[in-house]
Amino acid sequence: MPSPPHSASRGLLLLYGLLFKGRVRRMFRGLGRPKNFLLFLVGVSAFAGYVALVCFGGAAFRVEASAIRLYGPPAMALFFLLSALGSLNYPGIPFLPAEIELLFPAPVSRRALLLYKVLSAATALVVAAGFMALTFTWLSVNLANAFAASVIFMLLLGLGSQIVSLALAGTHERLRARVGRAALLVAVLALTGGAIITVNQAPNLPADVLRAALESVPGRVALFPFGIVTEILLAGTAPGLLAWTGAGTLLVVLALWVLIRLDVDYREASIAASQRVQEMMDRMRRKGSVFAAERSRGKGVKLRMFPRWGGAGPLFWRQATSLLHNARAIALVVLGALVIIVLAYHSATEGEWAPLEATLTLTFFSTFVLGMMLQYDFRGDLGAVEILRTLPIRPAAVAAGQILAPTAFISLIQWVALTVLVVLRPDLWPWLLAAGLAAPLLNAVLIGMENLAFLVYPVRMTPGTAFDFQHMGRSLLMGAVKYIAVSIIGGAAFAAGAAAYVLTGRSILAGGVAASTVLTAAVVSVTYLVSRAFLAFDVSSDLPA
Amino acid sequence: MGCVSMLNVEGLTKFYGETEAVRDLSFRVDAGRILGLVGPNGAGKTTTLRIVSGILPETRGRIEIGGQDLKSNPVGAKSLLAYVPDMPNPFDNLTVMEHLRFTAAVYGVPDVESRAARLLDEFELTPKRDALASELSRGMKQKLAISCAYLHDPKLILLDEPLTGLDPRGIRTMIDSIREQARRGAAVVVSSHLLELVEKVCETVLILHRGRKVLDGTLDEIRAAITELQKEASLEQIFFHATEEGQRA
Repeated sequence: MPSPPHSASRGLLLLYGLLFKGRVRRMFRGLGRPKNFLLFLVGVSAFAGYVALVCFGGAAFRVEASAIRLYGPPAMALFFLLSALGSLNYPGIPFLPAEIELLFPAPVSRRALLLYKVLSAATALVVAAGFMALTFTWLSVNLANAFAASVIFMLLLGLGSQIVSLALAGTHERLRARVGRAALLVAVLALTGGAIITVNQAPNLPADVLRAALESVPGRVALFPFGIVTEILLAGTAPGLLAWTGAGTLLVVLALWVLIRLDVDYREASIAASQRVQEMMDRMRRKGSVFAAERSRGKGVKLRMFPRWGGAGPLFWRQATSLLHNARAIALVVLGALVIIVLAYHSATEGEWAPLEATLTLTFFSTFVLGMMLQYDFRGDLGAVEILRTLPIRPAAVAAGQILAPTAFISLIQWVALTVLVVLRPDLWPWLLAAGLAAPLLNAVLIGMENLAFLVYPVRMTPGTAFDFQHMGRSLLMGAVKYIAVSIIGGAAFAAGAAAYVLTGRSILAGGVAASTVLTAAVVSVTYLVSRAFLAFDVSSDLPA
Repeated sequence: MGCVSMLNVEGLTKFYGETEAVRDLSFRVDAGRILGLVGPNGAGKTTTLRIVSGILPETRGRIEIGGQDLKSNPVGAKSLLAYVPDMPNPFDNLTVMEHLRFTAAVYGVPDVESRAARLLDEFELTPKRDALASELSRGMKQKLAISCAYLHDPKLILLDEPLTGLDPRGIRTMIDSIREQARRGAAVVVSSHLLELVEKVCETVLILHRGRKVLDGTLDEIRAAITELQKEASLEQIFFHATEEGQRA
């Protein structure tokens, strides 16, 4: 029957085209509905505004060409090295499950399949380079230079990672782990040594050391590709830009040639890599959050079951236990506490407005930033909404139980930070005590608003949501609504507190009680609204595909 | 036709790291025959199918498909086979018809429209021809994978749990289609936990346990080989006898 093998390449090209068309189709899906169309318009307008700002208003800040030539290549090399180190842990080029099932058994040569994968990855990298160029135009002569440099850098990065992945595909896991540890140790020693030298020696020493390293033979060889990318960024004339881009293209072709010539049987490593990526995507889809990508690694700290509290207790316990099982979340909490303490202390050491500055810093970095990241509530529980609906617990208790864990953890961080601040600045204790009382309430309001926005318009993270204008529009609109609402509530609490403070002859306690009363009312209202949104959540239509 | 070997597996061994998944497995399937591959979970059935289909490399052993060596001539060997996994994962952003068009292009199938229309009709996918794969139910995805597999009239068909997710009508269509493919001259390997299906559809059976072949042959040959069982023993009785013997060994 059929099956001439030479048609396989045509088939791969057709697949590449169809997948590209499919992604574009996905971007414009559902635009017939007014809500989707509105979100799409908001997303496109915001993106267009950003591009216009970069193109016409970005000349205010420029970096000296000499500084870019000095620091650019080593910075890019470091990024490249980190990316390669990632390949040590997870070697193998990840194919989509569909590609494994349909293309691996197909009459397609291994090299043809590899070229198809490189082409697919390169397309994604070029799109990513477009966004990168917009972000880093200020380092470049203009947008064209930034785009050309970004494309060459991203392609070199992508091909370099694939070369390392392929080269390591057949090696033993223990060997890779040893190489990885050794490389990490060298990097840490180099950075520590550099830091010690920088601190103890003349201020211009790092620049001198870098200059010497760049001019040495190993430095020139190691940083050669990144030097070319830097020259593309800085080329002042069109012929110069063309010449340097041509040199960069030659490097890309050389890397591609090396990749193809390696001719490693990548199937097993690719399947393992694909499985890992798929598991991450599944976790993100199931839990609805990009922060769920990492698998829980240990059992962490064990919590005793909380009292029932009408059913809210066990739900709170479940979310808190999940949070404690996630090593990354714990690290985030510790890091968050450290950052907040340093920033708040730094703000509070000088000036008349020190207490206010410290409180605002504390509020912003803990409540807003950590509130977005610690999604141990409805936002990270998309796949469990059906189960939650079946529980014999009143909706208000479900809502309270769900939002308690991030609220409690953020409050805990804030109390640690406040305690350290009280030790450092004992004179501020009444203000810090008031802040400590108000903090859990403000946290609950914000986490409640985050959950309310999510339940009203749920979104599930998928690969297709990157560069998705509807998703972008949705994030912008919901973000704006959320923060306006929180600002109004926070403003009302502040006004009530200030009024009580003034009216009671500067009583901080009275101010704190008034502000807390307003915030408590807000917490009750937001929790009620979350419970209504949970009740109205239709699992048959509201769970995004 | 019955004696032309379409799949010949010799001494197949597969290690995942230090774990042995399949050990020294040899079997053959002739053109027009249906082989049932059965075994408990973790017996090595899916690994065997994935190696034979070229998805996974073998650690040792030799595989010939229609006389073509899978290792030295992978493209020639793969052009003769079709593989349907237990949980098909089609491309989310492609429509049903786009999957068939792309498959036809890879295998060089002419008159794709008429062939695709026939398969879509057979597997009741015609109303879904322009639907995205992400919009299909699990059973529909299974039917799409089978349609793609049959599109190029393969000489060897590897089906891993082919009835999973299918409704009763889909199951009947699937069984009929497996028999039809064998009548057409294809060798079919069906891996399944549904022993009744295997007994009903397959002419020969291969029982795997912990990566090793414990029994193979026609049901009559197997019954004759096991003296402890009655002559009319079902495949289920044979299966438990063989795997529990293996457990004791």
